[in-house]
Order: sequence, then structure tokens, then C-alpha cells
Amino acid sequence: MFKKQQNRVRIAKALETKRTSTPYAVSVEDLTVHYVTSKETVKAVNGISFKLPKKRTLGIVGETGAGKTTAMLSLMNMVPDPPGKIISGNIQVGGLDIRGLSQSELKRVRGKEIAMIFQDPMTSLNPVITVGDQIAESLLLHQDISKQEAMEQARGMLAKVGIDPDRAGEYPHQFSGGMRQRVGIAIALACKPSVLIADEPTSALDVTIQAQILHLMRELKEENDSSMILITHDLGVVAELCDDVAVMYAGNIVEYGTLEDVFNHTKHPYTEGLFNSLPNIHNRVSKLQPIPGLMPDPSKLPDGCAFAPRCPYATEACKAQAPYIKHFSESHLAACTAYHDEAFAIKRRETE
Amino acid sequence: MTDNILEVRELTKYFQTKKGSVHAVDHVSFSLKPGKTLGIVGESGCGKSTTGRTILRLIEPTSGEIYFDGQEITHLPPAEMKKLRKDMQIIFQDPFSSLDPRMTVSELIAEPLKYYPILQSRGKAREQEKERFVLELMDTVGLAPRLYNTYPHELDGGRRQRIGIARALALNPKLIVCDEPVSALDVSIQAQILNLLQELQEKRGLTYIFITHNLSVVNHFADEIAVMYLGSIVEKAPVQELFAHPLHPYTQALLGAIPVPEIRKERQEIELQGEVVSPIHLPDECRFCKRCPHCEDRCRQGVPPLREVKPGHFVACRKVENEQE
Repeated sequence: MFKKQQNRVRIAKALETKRTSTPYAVSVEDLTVHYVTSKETVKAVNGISFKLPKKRTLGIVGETGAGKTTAMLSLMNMVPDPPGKIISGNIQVGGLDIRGLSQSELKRVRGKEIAMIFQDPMTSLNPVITVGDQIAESLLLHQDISKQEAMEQARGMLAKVGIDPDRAGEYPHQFSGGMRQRVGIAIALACKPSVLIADEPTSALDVTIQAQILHLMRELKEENDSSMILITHDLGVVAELCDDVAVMYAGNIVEYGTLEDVFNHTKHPYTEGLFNSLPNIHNRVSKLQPIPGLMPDPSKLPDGCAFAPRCPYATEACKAQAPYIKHFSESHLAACTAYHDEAFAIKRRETE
Repeated sequence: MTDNILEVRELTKYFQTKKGSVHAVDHVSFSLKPGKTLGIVGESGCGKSTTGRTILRLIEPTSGEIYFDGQEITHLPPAEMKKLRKDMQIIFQDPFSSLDPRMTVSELIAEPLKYYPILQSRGKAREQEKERFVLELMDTVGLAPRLYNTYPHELDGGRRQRIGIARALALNPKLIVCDEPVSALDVSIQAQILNLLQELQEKRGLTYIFITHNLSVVNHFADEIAVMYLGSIVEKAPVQELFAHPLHPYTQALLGAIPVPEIRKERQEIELQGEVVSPIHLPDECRFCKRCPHCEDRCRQGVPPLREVKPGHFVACRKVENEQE
């Protein structure tokens, strides 16, 4: 026991010496992640960069296979290897260079500095351990407390997420989907991480329960002063919760800006397509405008812009060269070659 | 009644379990005119899928009557029912598990032909006729002919759902129950499939029962909407009326809970407390009592009936009754 404690202190000290001070909770530069198999190389993430200031919430939006989850797993150095390989990139979480840390140091960082809420509350909990023990597990790992104290804190966390603390001794199958997601949130937040990653936290839930969970996440995030990255395909959820938005397509960030920038001054044709293909509850239209075609196979990405084959504005130049990164303001950028032409503008379907 | 393609009266399905009977569908009634779409909306476990399947008698109802094209079908013998199924088909939610992984696209689409005498010719000519038939259907639902011999696992969710639609269309049905046909798909693909279903309805005069949890989708799609909660319809109205004047507290909460992809200055929060209660041993009171912000004593006296409060707008709520009086 004593030795364990000494180890913990030694690693914590080593971590502090590696930390640089920064105003950003997370900063990622030129991150590239590939899944390499004998058959093919799947280019999941292709050179993305973003910076998340402290206390803000970033929404990462994109369809299945856009590379959202892979990018976020890299932040915790949790991309399954093999076949996953972080090819290049600088990842800083709370001033720590994640790629330069040893396994034991990473263990200190995960859960304490950065924690994750997973998509599927049905499969992300351990079915043979009580929920109380599952919450206490990370507490015991990161703090010098006795098992009893950890259980006490775990019960406190349950109360915080709206579950009767007396249910701490129950197993995941005894809870409903919404309740299990609350447990997932309790586990992620137990050690008050400074960065919280939520991977589609409400996609498996009903709308009324989704509203409850989003509300809870917003509250707890403010209470802990933490920053959050929310991965979702639901633009509605983004509007509810996020300050900044990154739109991902085929492993690239195609548009990045504040919520206002991306929602009210949409620049990238793909973002436009996403908005137009959504049935809007306030604005019934006779026909939806889907984006034609499919996302390209990430093992056979086209040269030039990956969206060009589906893009209504695409020209020969788009298919030949990598997209041009146009900065519209300090906060807003889009990766689209068409903006070489100053007069270019996209038309989003008018909402009243 | 004669101009309704489907009329459902007091349809009820209880599942018997060790703990008691599960009230999956509880005295549900509605009717549907040809060429129209009824949207059935509700959260998981509210009985919307069971309703859809019971109408096709894929699940036998406990009680109630179903009139399809003027004919009562709940007591039809299997042979008669098989003939009728030609006219009533279903599209399933999950295009990943509803297709046999060992059958090719063409086999999947041609499968209904095995059971119904659609093809006229014999021998070699029959094979050719079948191929023409399948290719025509593939063209209708927007599948490229080169996919004729591929297997479902080689295709993405949107294409797989198109196979499901082609199968449902093969026998040229009148009524299709669409059970969450787009909820497993990405938004851009979702819009493609919704547009396809809409085009098919216009071309073939199909009648749809559209089951979904997504109110934005039914708003786009349906003519009339029925909102279900714990096995019962709590509100039913033409789509514009329902969205403009939702009366039942549950409908209001559902509409308020949908995250809208717009930046809103103020969020109207009618956040529902609690979760859906178990549909076993339901007390004799309004089903929504435990989560309702307006629940009062009279709500606990029996289940409120579905009453017409405006022409075409039905709601089951004591509070609304009060205000009407």
C-alpha cells in the first residue's frame, strides 16, 4: 500500500515537470491516424488541428466514419494499436504532451486530466461489477483514500447525477438506459477531470431522457469548470451545448468556428448539405435536399478534396489539389478550394 | 368506413410474462385513408412497433378488430391471411440485421416471388422474367444494376435499406408499415431514403404507417400523427394542427425536448422528470401521471378516454377536458 502511494507521488511529480503552461485545455496540431492492415491502410484522421480554450465546449460533428471517435481516442492515446497508428501530430492536454508520456504516466492522466463518456451505456459498463464499485475504481486509482471513503464519494457522485445513492450496490442491468448513461457520467466525472470527452452520449437514448442528460452534463461541466469535447452527428445537440463547432468529413476538419459562425454563416458546402438534409421541425418542406452519393472509402481517398465527388460546386481544381484553407475571421475557417474565387458563396436553404 | 383502407378498433396486445401481463398495446383505435401516411410517434417501449406488427398479424392481437379494405382480418385463417399479406408489407428498422447475410441482393429481392404467383412464364423464360423483375425493382429504389450479385455486408446502411424497400415493394402492396426505416442511417442518407419513400408514395399511391421516435421526420412525412405513451394513443391530430397546437402534456414535452439545429436565445424547457414506468401492473389512472407536471386528483381516477376536442384533433387528458368545459 505504502509503495503504491510512493509511486503515485513520484509519477505525479514527474508529470508536473513535463507540464508547460498554456491557456488551452487541449491543443492538437496536424494529427494523422491510420489503421494499417496487411490488406489496406485506412486513413481515418488526416492532419487535423484545433485548439480548445479552457472552460469551453467544442462540438465535433460528422457522419459515421468521419474519424471523430478516432481523433478523440488519440487525445488519450487510446487508439487500438495494432492496427491503429498515430502517424504524426502534436497532442497537448492541459499542457502535457500526450505522445511523450510513459504508460504509467498516461494512467495518471486518463480519468484525472481527461475522461470520456461513451456512446453506448448498454455495453460500456462492466456487467459483473456494481455501479458503486465502478465509480470508486477510478477514485481509488487517483486519490489516496480508503475503500470506504471511495465508496462514500461514489455514492455522492450517484446523488449528483440523479440516482438514489442506495442503489450503489446494484448492477448495470438493473438500471434503464438513461440511468446507465448517468452512471457513465458519474464515472467520467468522479475525479473532476479538466477535459471531458463525450462520444455521442445521448444517441442511444429517447428524446425526453436525452434532454435530461444534456441538462445534467451542462450543469456538471459548469460546476467543475471543465472543458468539454462533444462528438455527435446531431446538429440539434450541438446547438444546445457547444460554444465552438468542428465539422469533420473523411478524416479532415472541413469547417471550424464558433456556433454562430458555423450555424448562421455556414461556409463549407458539406456543412450546407448537412443542414439542408435535416428535416426541420419548424419548417416543413415538400422535399428534403440530401447530399448525393456516399462518403468515400477511407482506404481509397480521392486526390484533392475528399468531398469533391459529392459537392455541387466542385470544379476540376477541387479534384486535383488539396483544399484551400480560407480564414473568414479569427475564429472561422473552411477548407474549400472554391474560396479562391472571392465572389464564391454557398446558398443555404432559407429558414423563415 | 368504406373509403378507409385500414381501420383499427380497440386493438389490444398483452404479453404474458412471469411478472404479470405487459400492456404493450392498449385499446388503440385509428383509421387511415388510401394514399395517406399516419405517423406513430413515441419513446422506446411505448408499443409503437407492436402496434405496427399486430396490424399485419405478425403478432396476434389479444383483442380488437382490424379492417383492411373493409374486411375484418383478425380471425382470418392462415391461407387467407397469406393472400392478404401481398397487400400489406413492412420495412424494418435495422438494415443490418433484417437481411439474410447469405443471400445476394437479387435473391433477397426475388424472395417474395417464391411464395406468390407473380411470374407468368415457365422454364428458362421464367429466369429471365425474374431477372427483369428484380432489375426493374432495383431501378425503382435506386440500386445500381452492378449490385445484382453482391451480398448485404458489402453495402452501406442506405443501400441495405433500399433492398428492404425493394422487398416490400415486390408484391405491389397497398399498405406499408415503415418501422423506423431511417433511424439507423446518417442524416445525409436519411434524407435520400425519406425522399425515395415519398416519391414511391406519389407514384404508386401507397399508404404508409410510419413508426418513429423522431418528430422532425414525421413532421416532414406524415399527414396525421398519433402520439403513443405506454401502449395508448394520448393524442392524435393532423400534422400541422399537432405541431401548432399540441394539447397533451406529453406531446408538449416531446416537442420541447427535441434539440433544434438553430441557435436559440431562449430555450423553452419543459423537461420531463423521471422515466417511463413499467408497463406491467398499470394502475387505473392516467398513464402519464407520474411524469406529468399538471397531474391532479381527478387524473388518478381512471384512464382518460381519447376525446375529440376539435375536428380531427383527439386527446386523452383530463386537464384539456377541464379547459374545454
